[in-house]
Amino acid sequence: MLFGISVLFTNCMEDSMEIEKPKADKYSVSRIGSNEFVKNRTLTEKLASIGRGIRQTTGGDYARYDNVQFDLILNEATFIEAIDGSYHSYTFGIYNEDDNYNINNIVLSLTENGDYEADLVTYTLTQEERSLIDSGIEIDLLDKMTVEPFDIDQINTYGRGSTCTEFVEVDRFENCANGHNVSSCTWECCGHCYEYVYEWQSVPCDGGGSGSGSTGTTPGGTTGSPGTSGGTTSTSGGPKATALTNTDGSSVRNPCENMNELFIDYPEYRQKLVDLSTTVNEDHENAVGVFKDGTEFDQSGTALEPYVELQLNPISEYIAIAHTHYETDATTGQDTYSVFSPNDLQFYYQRLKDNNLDHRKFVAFLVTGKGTRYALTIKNKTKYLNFFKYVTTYKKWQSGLAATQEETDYINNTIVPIFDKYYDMEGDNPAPIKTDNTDNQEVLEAFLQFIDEADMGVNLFSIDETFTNYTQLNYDDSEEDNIKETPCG
Amino acid sequence: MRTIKYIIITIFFTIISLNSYAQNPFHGTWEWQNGNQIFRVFLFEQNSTTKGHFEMVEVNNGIETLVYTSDKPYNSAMAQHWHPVINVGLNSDHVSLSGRILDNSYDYESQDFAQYDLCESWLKMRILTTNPTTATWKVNYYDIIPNNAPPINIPMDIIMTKVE
Repeated sequence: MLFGISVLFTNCMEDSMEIEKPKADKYSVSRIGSNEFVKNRTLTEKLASIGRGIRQTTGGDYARYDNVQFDLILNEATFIEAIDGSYHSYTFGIYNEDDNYNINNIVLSLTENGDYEADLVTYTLTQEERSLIDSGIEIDLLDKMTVEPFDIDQINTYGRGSTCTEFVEVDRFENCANGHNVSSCTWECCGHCYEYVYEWQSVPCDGGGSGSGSTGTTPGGTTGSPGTSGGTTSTSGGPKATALTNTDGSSVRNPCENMNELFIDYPEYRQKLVDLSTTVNEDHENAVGVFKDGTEFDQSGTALEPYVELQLNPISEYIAIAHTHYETDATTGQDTYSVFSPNDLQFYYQRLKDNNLDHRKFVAFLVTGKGTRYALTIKNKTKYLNFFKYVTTYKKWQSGLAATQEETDYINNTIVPIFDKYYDMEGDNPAPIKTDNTDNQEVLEAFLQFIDEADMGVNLFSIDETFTNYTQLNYDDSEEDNIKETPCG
Repeated sequence: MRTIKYIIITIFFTIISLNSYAQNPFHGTWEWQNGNQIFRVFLFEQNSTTKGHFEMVEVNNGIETLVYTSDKPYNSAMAQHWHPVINVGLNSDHVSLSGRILDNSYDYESQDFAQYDLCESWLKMRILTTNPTTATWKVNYYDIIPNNAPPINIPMDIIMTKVE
């Protein structure tokens, strides 16, 4: 955790690389890693100011400013530099974990006095528009952009005035083919599917303005020429520039995409899953998985020990973990759960929290001796971390710190009751998720209710025997068996 | 009249409670003695589930000294005690139960424990057909656990006797 917000410096990569020559000659654009821009002390001080200025959420991992939830991606940025060297800006992505389809960027622009001004750029998008972007299909973003100064705790030294903002598209880069998938892009291409550089500057609020580039439309629908007039912000100095940068896409991502990408990148992994599923009647659990750097692991538990140990601090992030829940001949139908267990889900949480699991790519597979095969993906990192935050409270107890009443109440009033309700309960209305329950449909229905009630932010899929066909499963009491099935296309 | 009504209601709920207790043969106190140490488990009903705590005591000259207990404050900075660390349910065969247990018996605030994370285990008990007041007690980690899980401190594979 840096600056009080969740930041990702972990994948510092190569030095900056020039991507493409612009059609126009005003700016050059490159993607740079943190190892490059951390050398810029003024910039890093400004980033630290932003971290101090935004308000932490109760979960502690994220922060909010206005209505935007922050998880700044600081391991890379889009660097835009004027050809004449008079100006440059850094655009950082923000994980969008909110229930909308917007994309938010933080733009730090060099000012005349050598300081940086911080602005929050928002691309307000519909679900359809966001899907198009995530699929690499170009859309006109000019009339969907707004900018506001990050104007808290005097982060910006300029004063607010009675001016408005005008956007213009000034440069265009074309180094990615249509259809390129942003979410699977490589370092060379990531963030450059939309190589439009947008410039904005202050104009009088009564409209008009100058600049070059395309014609824009005001948010209210009035056509301006050229550019887009907003109505809320005030900035100083000359024009500033940004480009749509590195989206997360979790909220609108094709729910089946993680599996699709995994088998494209690691086609041999499918056979490993098939092989794994033949071991569910062995007397121990087994696991096979993939790390983000491409290395794979294969782990077996000990005979008659119902667990498998996986690495706490792997060299690279987990992107796939498959494991078995076994049933032995001696106690068939009594050994393990037919769905993911609390320990399974907590393991994913701890790795996610420690930045040892990339939720944008991650797939958890489970094959059981009761004949079930499931895949689970994390569609909303914030929700997942929020539900399992009690694990962090345990750690607090270990460190001798007093937990807050809120933290203790969360365990006693939320966590204990919800696990009681769905796992292992007895009595007249027993919780169906029990190791001795062989009614897989009943257990599945309960598990879907559990992840719904927990608001865990995950997707669940059933899988065929060949691990080729996936069907998304959702609890839906309007369906005959309370389970809505949506096959992946 | 009001008193009679109160008595009837009290008797009704007492019967319901006793009936519920009677349905689960595991509710009560279980012990396992090893030398002068006694491992004791308390199982009880709470919100339609079976909850529990455990303790280990040492007996010298008839005087019990506590070795560890799960029913202790969350840590040295808090007065509030642990919620029940045993969360189990009676199985459909009515002679076995299964669920989860969190071994909090360690001095987990010590530096020696800093490398570990508290981690849940499963718990399975089964009443022996040869003696219905005895039952197997099996504890082990289950499913995916991190490779920094601490060794389990409480007894893992014993036969316990119901004493209350």
